[in-house]
Amino acid sequence: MNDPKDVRIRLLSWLLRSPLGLRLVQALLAGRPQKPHHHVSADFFLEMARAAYASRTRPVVWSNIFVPSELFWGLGIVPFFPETWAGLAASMGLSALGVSQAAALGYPVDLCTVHRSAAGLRVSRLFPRMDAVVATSHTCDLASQMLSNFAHAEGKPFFLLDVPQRENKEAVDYSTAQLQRLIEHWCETLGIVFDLDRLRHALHLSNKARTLALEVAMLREAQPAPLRGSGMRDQLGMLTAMFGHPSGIRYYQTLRDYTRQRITSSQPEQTLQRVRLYWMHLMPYFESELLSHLEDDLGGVVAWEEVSTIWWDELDERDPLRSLARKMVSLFFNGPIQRRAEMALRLIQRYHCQGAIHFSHWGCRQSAGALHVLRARLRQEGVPLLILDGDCIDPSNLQLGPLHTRLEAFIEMLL
Amino acid sequence: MYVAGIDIGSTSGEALILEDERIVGWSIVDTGYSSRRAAEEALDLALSHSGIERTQLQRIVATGYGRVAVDFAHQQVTEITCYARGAYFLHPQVQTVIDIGGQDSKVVAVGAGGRPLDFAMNDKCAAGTGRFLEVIARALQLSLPEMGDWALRAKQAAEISSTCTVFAESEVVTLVAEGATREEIVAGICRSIARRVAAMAARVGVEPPVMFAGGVARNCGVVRALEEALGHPLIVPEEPQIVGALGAALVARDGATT
Repeated sequence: MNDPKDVRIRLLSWLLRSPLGLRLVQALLAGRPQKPHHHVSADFFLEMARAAYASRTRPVVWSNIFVPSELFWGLGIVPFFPETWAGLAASMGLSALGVSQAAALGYPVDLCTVHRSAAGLRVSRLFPRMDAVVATSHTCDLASQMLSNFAHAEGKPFFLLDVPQRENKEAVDYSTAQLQRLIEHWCETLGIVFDLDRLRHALHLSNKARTLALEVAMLREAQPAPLRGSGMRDQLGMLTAMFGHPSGIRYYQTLRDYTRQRITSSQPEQTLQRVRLYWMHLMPYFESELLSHLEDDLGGVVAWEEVSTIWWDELDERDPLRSLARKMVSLFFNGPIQRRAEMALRLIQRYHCQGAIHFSHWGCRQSAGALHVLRARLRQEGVPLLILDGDCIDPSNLQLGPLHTRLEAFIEMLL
Repeated sequence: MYVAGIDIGSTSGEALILEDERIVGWSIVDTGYSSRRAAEEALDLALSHSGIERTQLQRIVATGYGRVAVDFAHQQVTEITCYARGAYFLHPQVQTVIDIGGQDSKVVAVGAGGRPLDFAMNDKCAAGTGRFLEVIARALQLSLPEMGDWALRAKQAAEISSTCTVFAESEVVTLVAEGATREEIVAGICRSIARRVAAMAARVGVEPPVMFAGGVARNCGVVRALEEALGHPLIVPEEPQIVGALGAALVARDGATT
């Protein structure tokens, strides 16, 4: 192929699959000037990559981002999240190739670009081996369909975790039974040996990371906001992969210390702070002027992002499956939109935000479908909501001019 | 004290000179290929109509999609803020302002003092904008100013099902072949624009009195169709195209006095 991106894909694919290549990437990343917690997250993803690409000792299960990560780490499985890796690829400027490959495969253009890009990157051989596939039914139904497609294409077993939309005892009982069946399925198909103590340990690690993440959340109430919203765009990846792994503790400890240091030294990451904002849904994974225009030119500071929210209660290590079931069922994206709206209002108040911005990612029905309800509820409480239609994966689908006008008008309105 | 507001849209550019509370001159020019050149031209023309020199201007504010190109302005402000300010100045009771320009349309909820409370914009699709009318006028061999009267003469409106300017043009050709009159087609086009804009306005919430501004407000066919779609009478200013420039001048006046 003549596409120069293809050369990059080949190179990246080699780097990820070769122990030497991974060491090279690690050395390159270590030398890059970045924030301390980003070094931790880079190391974590490299460790995942090493286990998924280069090593053959543990099974690799492809998953959507809503399967609790504690389950994988507690069962000795290496998870691979195509959605997260599609985001990583976008941050490296590789999304165009994934999207065009998906078009060649026949995926329609109105589908979410996260999943289309993942589908394209899969056939580009950027992704690692797959021993099994799992997906939840809740929040994003495209994820389960795409992952099911992937499993079918590779001839691997697929398990759908059916998560009810209501949060009640029956839903938790039902989801617990699903998790039980999933473990039995993996013991059978992957040959893993279930070790309850190991699973409990994963929950223990998750709880410790959760406590630290809650400390970060508390520190971020500070005014001026210590952190920059655009620096938190990796949060969804962290939140969905790190819990139950020792890196989760390291990450949130480092982030907490960094945040605290920003507050005590009176050196917020963003100097111009005129309006505090609550950011809903995703942010572009690639470098774009959207966030820098908001933050640096207009002085809009993202005081809190929806996807940074620790939504679940402390996990009960004595009853791990029920705890994980509750974590799935209680996700704020799951069930009626009112749950998400009420959480937004609580966080808007907590972080003293004057307005909210919803970034409606292209093709994401679950997030944008009920925006009118969300908007009406926020308006009822006097909170203006700006809806930005964009794409967090494909830069060619992000029209900066119109988006800048909307951001500017919104800030003018709030001042 | 003299101040100026300049509104550079995709199709036309307007400049307006304000002396305290009084409009002393204004102009409308084609934007053409250069927003900056259009701004200069519009400002010079408005100054000559006002009989004052540029050096007498205390402050200039630019708005519109080409505002960033107006590098000689003291400040750039979005058209959302400027339409709200301009509409409030002309009619302090106004609660909603709808602007349909050459290539975009917007709805702004106006609060106390002309402050924007909420807004919605369409700048991605030419359907529901002046561009849509231009394309159809060309297909029907009509001039833009006469389109409104043709629409009002129609006994019924043709059903335009397409939501895309390009495909609507094809649809018009089909309607002509099927024997629909030009009056019916033009009325159908006006209704199509009105429906799209009314749907966008519903997202913001339409509170009367409603002002209709922008170049398309000169089209009486769209005015009537929009009134029907919204269920409210519309206030159309005498010069609907200069509302944005007026708002920009008002923002300039605020900046000059503070």
